[in-house]
Amino acid sequence: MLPSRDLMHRRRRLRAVVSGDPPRYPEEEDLWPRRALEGVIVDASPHVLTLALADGSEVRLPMSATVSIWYDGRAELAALRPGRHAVVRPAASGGLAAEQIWVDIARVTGVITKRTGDVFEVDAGPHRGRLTVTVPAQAMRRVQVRHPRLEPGSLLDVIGVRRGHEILGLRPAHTSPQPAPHAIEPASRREAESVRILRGTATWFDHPDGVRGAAYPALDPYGDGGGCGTGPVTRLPYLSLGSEVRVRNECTGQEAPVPVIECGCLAARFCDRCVRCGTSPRGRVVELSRSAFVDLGGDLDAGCFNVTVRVDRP
Amino acid sequence: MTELFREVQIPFLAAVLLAAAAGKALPRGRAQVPARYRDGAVTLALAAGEALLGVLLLTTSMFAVRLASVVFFATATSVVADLVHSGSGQACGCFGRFSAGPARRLGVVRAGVLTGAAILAAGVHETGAQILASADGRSAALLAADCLAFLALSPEVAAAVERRLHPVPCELRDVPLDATYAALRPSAAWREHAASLTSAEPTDVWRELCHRYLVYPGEVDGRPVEVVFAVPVDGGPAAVRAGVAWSSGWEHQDDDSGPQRVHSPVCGRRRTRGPAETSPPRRPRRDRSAETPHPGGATGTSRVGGLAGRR
Repeated sequence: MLPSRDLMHRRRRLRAVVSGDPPRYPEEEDLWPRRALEGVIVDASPHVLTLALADGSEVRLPMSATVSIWYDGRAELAALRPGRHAVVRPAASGGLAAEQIWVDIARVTGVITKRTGDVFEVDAGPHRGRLTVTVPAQAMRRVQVRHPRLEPGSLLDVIGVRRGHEILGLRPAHTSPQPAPHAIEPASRREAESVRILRGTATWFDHPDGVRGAAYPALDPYGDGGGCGTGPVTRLPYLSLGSEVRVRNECTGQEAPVPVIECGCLAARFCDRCVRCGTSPRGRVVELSRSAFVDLGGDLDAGCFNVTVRVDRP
Repeated sequence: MTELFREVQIPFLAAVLLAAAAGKALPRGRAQVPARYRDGAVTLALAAGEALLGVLLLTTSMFAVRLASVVFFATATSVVADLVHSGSGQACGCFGRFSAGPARRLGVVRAGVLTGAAILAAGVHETGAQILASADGRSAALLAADCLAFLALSPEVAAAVERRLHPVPCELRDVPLDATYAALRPSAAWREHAASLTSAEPTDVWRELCHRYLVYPGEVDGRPVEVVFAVPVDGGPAAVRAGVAWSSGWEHQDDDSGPQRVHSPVCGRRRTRGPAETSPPRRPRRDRSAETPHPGGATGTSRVGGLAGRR
């Protein structure tokens, strides 16, 4: 399989050969609202944060006066220790001044396969493998508010911090309970636009540093579409790896085209609603990589935002 | 009248069992049973059992057979109720591929009514064949009433009506590759390019909304090309389109023209050429974007002009 960027360009070019329309490369037009940065902290002072990026380069970011730091909740500058991973959102006013920093934030989403005390083994889907997360005793009650059945076969979605090779799950990643399957209303077939315009929830997932992309639940399971073959619970239009979706954060109004880089095999099994700004009309329709999520105005510690996804121009 | 009503249940239940067996035995019906039974051998065994029970109801009046039919329908009621209660959205697969939708309460009611009919018919002394042989107008009317009630309680019929009234949009339709190949192979676009293909297997297959794209390696004038077919997931061979691009691995290109679409088939109200009018494949031009996949290199297709059948 080609790297996803090459695959996306190749498929756009070949599709254009058939359609006669010139291929579009919107990600080259720098339409991203803001550029989040991810990397390992090299040095931190009250005024400057130095990050080592995934490509080996280093970048020095000035701290804005109102910088907010997250490390297992709101934290002070002391949390910015060298060696820790950081995701930085630049200030909205422009430039690279850091406005929000998440330190060693991690998320575990999947199906519990094994539980030993407060240690859970979670199947995160065919692309992400199995993860181990520890839910400390003081966080257990909070997690159980949204996941009352913490036993094999149940869904789990927690946000926490990464400490070395260990992930500590500290809080449930969604803010509304998982409704019963009969509570899910399928999209109306009478509304012509509703098939290609999806209004629901966007969440984020852990992906190698700096990659901007989306995991979409309904990738074609046949051929080289990249689908998992498990089939989405709710019906979504079929796309493939390299397709493009247009994502709009309904809470902030920010919008950007996002390439599909992975199958969100488990996303559609979560029927929870995001309540960041009103209640999202349906469950998870797209998962965004950390950078894409932050670029679109999402707060990683909140876990979701209400979203409108257009798939009409893949 | 009551006795007659009990008697007609025997051929009615036999017909239901035989129909269920036929539905499961159809090749595409074998995957539609609940996941825990999703094994072709198990499905075929179940179909064989249903067929055997149906035939025995028609040919014998043994009480054991009648009892077996009661147990069978009671078990079916329990299984369907379990599926509905679990809310898993699984199909019951009662009639193979015809029962592809999620199990519904109506299916539980139907299975329960069939169980009741089997209990009613347990004490009948005639075989199903004997009852059919001596059937009069009243028996036929009762049998027809049974069938109508059965259809009214069938979620498959309700789903078929729903599909007819509100068809599933092509974007949401799960279409296997076999159906795509079935539309591609008889198409004019395939016939036009078949001679230039160097492999019968596509190198890339992907789907976007209502189209599935298949890329085949080919050769034109000794140069490697990629032939792209766009097959609509809800259309027939007439709607298949094709285009040719230089293979991205081709390094010895000596002209600077862009990619050329060589087949522009039938689409909408535009006039299309029949096979006799179709010109021979033109030489594909060089695709710059194949080498530099960025906006600057993507201008080749904009030069495609005078071609009918744009999407």
